[in-house]
Amino acid sequence: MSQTVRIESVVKEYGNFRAIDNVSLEIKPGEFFTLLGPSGCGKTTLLRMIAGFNTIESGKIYFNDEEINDVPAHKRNVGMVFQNYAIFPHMSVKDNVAYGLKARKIKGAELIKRTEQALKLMQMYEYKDRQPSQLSGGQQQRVALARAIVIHPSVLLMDEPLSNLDAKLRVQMRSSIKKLQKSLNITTIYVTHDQEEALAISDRIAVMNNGRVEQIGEPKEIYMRPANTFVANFIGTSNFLQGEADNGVVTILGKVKIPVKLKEGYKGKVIVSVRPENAALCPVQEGMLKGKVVFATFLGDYINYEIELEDGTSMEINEYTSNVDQHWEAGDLAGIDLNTKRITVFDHETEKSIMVY
Amino acid sequence: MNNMGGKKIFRKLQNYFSFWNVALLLFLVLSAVFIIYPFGKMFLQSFTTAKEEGFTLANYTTFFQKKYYYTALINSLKICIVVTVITTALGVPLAYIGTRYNLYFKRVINIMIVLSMLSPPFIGAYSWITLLGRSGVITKFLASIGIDIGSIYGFKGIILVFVLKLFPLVYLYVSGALSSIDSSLEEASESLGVSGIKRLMKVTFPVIMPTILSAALMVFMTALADFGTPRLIGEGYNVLPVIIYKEFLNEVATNPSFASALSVIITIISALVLLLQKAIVDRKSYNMSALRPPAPVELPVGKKILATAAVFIVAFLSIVPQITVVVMSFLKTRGPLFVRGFSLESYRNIISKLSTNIRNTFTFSILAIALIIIIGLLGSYLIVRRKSKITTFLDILLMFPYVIPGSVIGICLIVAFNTGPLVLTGTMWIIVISYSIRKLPYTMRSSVGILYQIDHSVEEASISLGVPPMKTFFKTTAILMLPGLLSGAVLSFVANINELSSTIILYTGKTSTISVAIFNAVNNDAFGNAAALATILTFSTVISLVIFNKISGGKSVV
Ligand SMILES: Nc1ncnc2c1ncn2[C@@H]1O[C@H](COP(=O)(O)OP(=O)(O)O)[C@@H](O)[C@H]1O
Ligand SMILES: [Mg+2]
Repeated sequence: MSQTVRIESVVKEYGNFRAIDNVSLEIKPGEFFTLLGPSGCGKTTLLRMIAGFNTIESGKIYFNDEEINDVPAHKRNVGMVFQNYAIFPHMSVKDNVAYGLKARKIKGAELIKRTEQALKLMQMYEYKDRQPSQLSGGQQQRVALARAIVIHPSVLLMDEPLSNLDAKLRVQMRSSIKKLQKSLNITTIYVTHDQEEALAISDRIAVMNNGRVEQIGEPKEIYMRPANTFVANFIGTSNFLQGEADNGVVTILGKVKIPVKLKEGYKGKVIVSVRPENAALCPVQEGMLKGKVVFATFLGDYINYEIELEDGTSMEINEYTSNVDQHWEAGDLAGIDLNTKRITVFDHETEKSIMVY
Repeated sequence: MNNMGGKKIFRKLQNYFSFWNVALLLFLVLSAVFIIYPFGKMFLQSFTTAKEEGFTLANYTTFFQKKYYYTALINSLKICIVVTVITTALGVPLAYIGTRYNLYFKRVINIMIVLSMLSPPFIGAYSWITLLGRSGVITKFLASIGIDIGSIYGFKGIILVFVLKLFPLVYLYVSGALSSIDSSLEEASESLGVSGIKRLMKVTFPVIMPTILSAALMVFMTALADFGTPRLIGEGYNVLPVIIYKEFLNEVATNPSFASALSVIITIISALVLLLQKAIVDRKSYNMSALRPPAPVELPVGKKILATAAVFIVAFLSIVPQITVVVMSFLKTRGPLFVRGFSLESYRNIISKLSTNIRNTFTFSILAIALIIIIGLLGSYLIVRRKSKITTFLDILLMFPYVIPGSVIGICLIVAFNTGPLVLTGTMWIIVISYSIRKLPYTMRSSVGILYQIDHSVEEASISLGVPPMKTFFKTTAILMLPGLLSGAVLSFVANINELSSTIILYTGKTSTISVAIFNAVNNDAFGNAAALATILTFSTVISLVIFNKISGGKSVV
């Protein structure tokens, strides 16, 4: 029942501005796929092209093997959850959920059965006769979801569905959305600008920037093996250090030499990215990076250090409180021990990864 | 493959002939036929005369050379400026008192103000004549104790009637704006040490200035366009709508080219005033929505009585005409004279002689309202949700009648539909069309406003659930717009049952309305009948307002 969504070299233009610039994706049946990127990068635009609310200037979109470019939105059988929920304000909860079924000419006992099933699934059964104005944000969200899944959509589209909820509810809802999606096995395309949410919820993620896809991969892959500096910086935090690569060895600040598996025969200026948790502070030793502690912030489970390196670049390092005995203070001079297995090296010009895994 | 191509072409065709494209086309055709064509034809006709062949400026040169004509223009401008200044000077301070202080009888005051605003324009003139005119009740009474109040006919009378009739407009507009200023704004000013009158001048009034100007514009336009008031109480004092009417009658409707020229002139004036107001407002417009509207202040008893009196007296004077006609309608009459005692004779008279007029008024107005609701619903959707160069053009077209006074619309329609492919003169439809066109700009403005408040994604949700766009519109947005649209329509209905300026030009024996009958009754000194008819209008207005309040959930008018 669940479908493949294939997007081939799709372009969306607003006047001269390319909101979606040659994007290609293939989403597998039953997959939870997330479009992640900063605000304004084109996530909503792409989602609305799949839903049928935006025209497609060039390229093609397929559901399974059917090209749907010219299929009007109401015939695409997609379930859509909007950022502001878009609950019909003039209908009760029950009527909101039954709406799409009625459009499919489903009547009588079947209509009632499926409506109630969906409401129960979203734990909204007891609110079925309420008016939308009597619901909280989280409850409206559940109604919106029930309404979208009750029609057994080929694809479920969600545009930042959690962004209007408070932090705690957001975490709760994201796991119930994930469970729901897995139990129904609906191909799902989810939009968010929140990297943590994307990592937590997705099977795969497409990181977008300026209307283009920067990287597609599983959450772990995207975090551990960023394809370029944009991804390295947008997902989690990364420190970028200048370096030189030659013959499989990267030299940072002219003295620290790290053997790394780079592309065959790569030589030249590079950017080395190190995540805050992949470096540790230690007493100063020869052949090691060193720097001055500028600021130490105690955050309970870990301590965040701001370090100024010898060449003036600033670097962030996190140390788990449970792992270390020595706590450093502002003004201290410390050595920096890099977890060399966890660094990523990018070409200085293209800012693309030159790692070989 | 071939089959796939066919499917694709079919889908493309379907897209072109979608409901909204067809609706857009229909709207463009309708506005071409009923707005552009009539006005265009009238405009062209103003450059012709019966005597000469071809293009001529003769009508315009005559206008600016003959004192009789250009005086009417000057008179019109004089009246409008004086009325606008007085109503604003009266309306703004009273609105401030009315919104910021706790007055006695606030509800009663508001009801009086709303009612007087919605009364038929000419009832004011007619009532004040019966009270203060040559043989007016008050005039006679004062004369009997030796006081001569002089004549109220002419300039003075027109001003009196217009001010009392139009001051409520300023009052309601400004009250609305004053209660949507967030009180933090004024508190901020106070905390910065700017308080009292100075704060009023530096913060409060500048913020509501756009509203004051809009209200002033409405007053100016209404005074400029009104035909009934100056005609009845002006006597020899000619203003533009009156001479348009006279010229039109003179030319016996076959070649009303001079009336057309006059129409063009008055339209240009109102367009200029509108542009002037827009130029000022656009430069200083603030978007306000009160999170915490200012709470009315409780005054000490003495001051409270004074403040109440100030507002109450003006509001009461505005409602005097209505009270007068209602009372008069139950008096016994002998010809033009009222005699002692009460009777239902006037009602018996009008029911037996004028039931057609009563039926016409309601039929025409209801039909016009139905049209207006449909146009408002679909038109605003096209303009807001299908924004394009064409729909923007449509927006301008549908707003255009705003600057055309009623009598000019009447003339345009006569000029356009007297001969030619589509002859409508003498039918009820020409009046229904005129009513619809006149109220169109108001309906469009309000429905566009309503539509902007409605979340677009509600429609997308419905579409993605499988309901096609047109059906989606009627199942979601249309239903959500309806309450707002209906309450606006009720106000348009009230305006239409009271319409005189265009009806007087368009009516025939069979299509005469209540307002025409009142006008004729007053001219024939059948005051009793006029009063009974006016009372019917007044009660219809009251009932409409009650309905309005029900629909709009108690939100006040304006
Ligand atoms: N209707 C539109 N007309 C013009 N530009 C648009 C329109 N919709 C979106 N854009 C532009 O396209 C870009 C992508 O927008 P959007 O898809 O909404 O971003 P996101 O959802 O990733 O925050 C933005 O720069 C936005 O300004
Ligand atoms: Mg978005």
